[in-house]
Amino acid sequence: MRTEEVNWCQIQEWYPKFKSVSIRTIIHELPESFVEYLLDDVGPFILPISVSNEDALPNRIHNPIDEEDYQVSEGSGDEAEQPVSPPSFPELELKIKESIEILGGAVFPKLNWSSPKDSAWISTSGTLCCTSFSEIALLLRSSDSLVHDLCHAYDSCSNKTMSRPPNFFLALRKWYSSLLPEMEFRCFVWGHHLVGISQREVTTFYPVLLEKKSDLQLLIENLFMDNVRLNFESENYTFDIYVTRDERVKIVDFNPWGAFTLPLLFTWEELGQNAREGNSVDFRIVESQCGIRPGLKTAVPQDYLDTSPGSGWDQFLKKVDAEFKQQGTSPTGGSDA
Amino acid sequence: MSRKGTIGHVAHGKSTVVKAISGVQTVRFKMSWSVTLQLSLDMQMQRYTSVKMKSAPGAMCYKAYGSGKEDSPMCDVPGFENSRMKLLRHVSFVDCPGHDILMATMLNGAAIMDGALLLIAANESCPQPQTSEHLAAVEIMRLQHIIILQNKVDLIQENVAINQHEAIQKFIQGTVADGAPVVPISAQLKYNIDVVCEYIVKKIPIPERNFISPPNMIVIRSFDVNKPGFEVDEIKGGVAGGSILRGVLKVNQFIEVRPGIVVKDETGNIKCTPIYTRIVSLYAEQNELQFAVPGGLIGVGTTMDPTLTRADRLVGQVLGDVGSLPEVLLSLRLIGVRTKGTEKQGKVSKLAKGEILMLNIGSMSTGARVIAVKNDLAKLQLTSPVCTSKGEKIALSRRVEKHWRLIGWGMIQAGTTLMFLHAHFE
Repeated sequence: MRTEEVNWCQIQEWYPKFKSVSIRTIIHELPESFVEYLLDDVGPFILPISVSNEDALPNRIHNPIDEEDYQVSEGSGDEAEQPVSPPSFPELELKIKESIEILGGAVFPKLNWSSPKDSAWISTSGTLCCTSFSEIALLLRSSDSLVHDLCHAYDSCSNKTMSRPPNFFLALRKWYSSLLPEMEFRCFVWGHHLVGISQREVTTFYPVLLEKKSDLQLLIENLFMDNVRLNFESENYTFDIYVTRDERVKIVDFNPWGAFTLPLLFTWEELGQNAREGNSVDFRIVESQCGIRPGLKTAVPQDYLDTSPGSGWDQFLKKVDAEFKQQGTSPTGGSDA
Repeated sequence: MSRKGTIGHVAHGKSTVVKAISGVQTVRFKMSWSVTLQLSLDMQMQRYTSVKMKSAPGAMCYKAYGSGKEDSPMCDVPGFENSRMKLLRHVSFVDCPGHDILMATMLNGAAIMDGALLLIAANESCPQPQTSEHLAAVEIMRLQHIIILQNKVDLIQENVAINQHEAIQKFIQGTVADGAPVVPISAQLKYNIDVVCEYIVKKIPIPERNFISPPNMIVIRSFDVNKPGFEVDEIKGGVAGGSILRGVLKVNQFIEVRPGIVVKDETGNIKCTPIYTRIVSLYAEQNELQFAVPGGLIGVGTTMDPTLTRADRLVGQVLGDVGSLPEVLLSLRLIGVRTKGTEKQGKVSKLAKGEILMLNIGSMSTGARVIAVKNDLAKLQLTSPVCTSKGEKIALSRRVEKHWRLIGWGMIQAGTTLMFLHAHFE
């Protein structure tokens, strides 16, 4: 993959061209001081001080009955470390406040490539809906997905010269509260041909998709032919869309083919094969009831999920193998899980 | 029946220990996971080895047999050959890695282990990096019954074993394992295995399995599975999915969901309205159920307005018998707060005023801001209201090197409650 292909997927690059078939968005270039705040690892994670008296957290409640129990004083006797100098971004905050108002009072944030989908658990509403700069800062800094944008965007590129883009942008996208998760789809394009479509929310069965599959496919193919094909710079890429209740198709995002982009109900091998064989579009949805699966909002510390080399899981598995070799047992057991 | 987990470095010889105790080779389990958070919680991941612990009266000896053995075999202790052994306990060993226990606990919200055997190999230094993490796992799971096995003592000299024994005692001081017996064993030679059996039978009580309490389920997903444009009378109510902590849910039961509908107004004040509704269906995987008990992840079909459950709106809420659910809290006072530095940092770093943390209470995740700290007390303001009670244990994580890293735990001592003005009937 080349850095150009990754760069074309940045929202500040594709949105101007596809505005008419996308969600209303206002894009701000981020000052380096805010980028440093997002990357900071020296000080503790503190929210920026607001110049418009806004706070991501709800107001505290003081119940007279409860107060008696509260012996932890907040003045002297308080042993919490005092942070050196709390951060503040007045100019940025006011610009963002204005944009939020223009967009109707509620937005969801996104950096160049990613939105902080994995930190929705920390917002008061449990969604990415933000009504203030403080809420945006809370989501952005709590997100692991965004670390990809900030530090690893070009990791898979053969011709990379930098580890990060020269500028970071914050896109504020108008928030619609009645969005249906089953109506979002990821479309896979190879050599300017649509080769696959996948349901985006893959953990649940939605009966409506079985019924409407062919209608949806037609709508998506039309959008692709009319608006996307040969319009987007890459030959091979993915794009995410949302189908509204009145059957309009909106472009939500573009991502590179392969690398960190999740193939969802496909594997990259299958998609590659579809592409090579020139098959007709393969549209995959979840077709039958499955059990409850944990979702993104069950957030756990990274320690429990890290499977990378050197991580606890990785070390553990290596030791399991070594242990079995030592015990002279073959690692193939009964079929488990 | 009680369940014991073996945790510790695999190199410490877990499988050999279990084999030595039970005489049965543990079957290797296969873990599967994916890059996203959609891990399968299938408890079949863990293989059980069932073991019967027996003793003949007066023999002062304990032995363990595989579950296939007859219930009352003859004793083989000299002088007691005519006595039959008595079945004292069924013990299941769940051989699983430390991280997996944490995952299951976090996501199921219920302790699946009644005790733990913590293994340390005599021929390696103590503590190994993972030992402290395993102790953390044990503490988060609220395990009180721990036996530390100092394994492979046959491989080293006596004075080395004694030194390590002392080092272990020092290491566990002040941790949840403080006071746990440290038993030197050799699993290969079956040395002291009878002592381990005795400890298990005498020290680890058989827990109650709770099907009697009012039901209580943590919601980890919620959906609207309707087709848009349907007829009004064909609406399917909202679906919530989660983990039942205790009690039993039944079809047609009336239930309450808390905190319910949560609204933050323009001035930043928060209000919530619990939802009262009825269960119309229960399912696990593809099976419809008439009732559901703790264990596994259950889908609950209700009469709730599906917009209330759409797109995981109810995640982190609690569902249960009307009037039986705990208070909804907007801030917490924690006691017993202990933080440990991450491996890279080394030292313990104090919580900072205003710092944003991740809190895990069972399978609920929420954010919090540190208001004040004194000794092992901490006052935290929550990012959203949580239905929970005093005595609940909380895992604390902070942002370290661009990830959320577990740094410690505490217990809820008190909290500011959010009063309800009314309830929402569905």
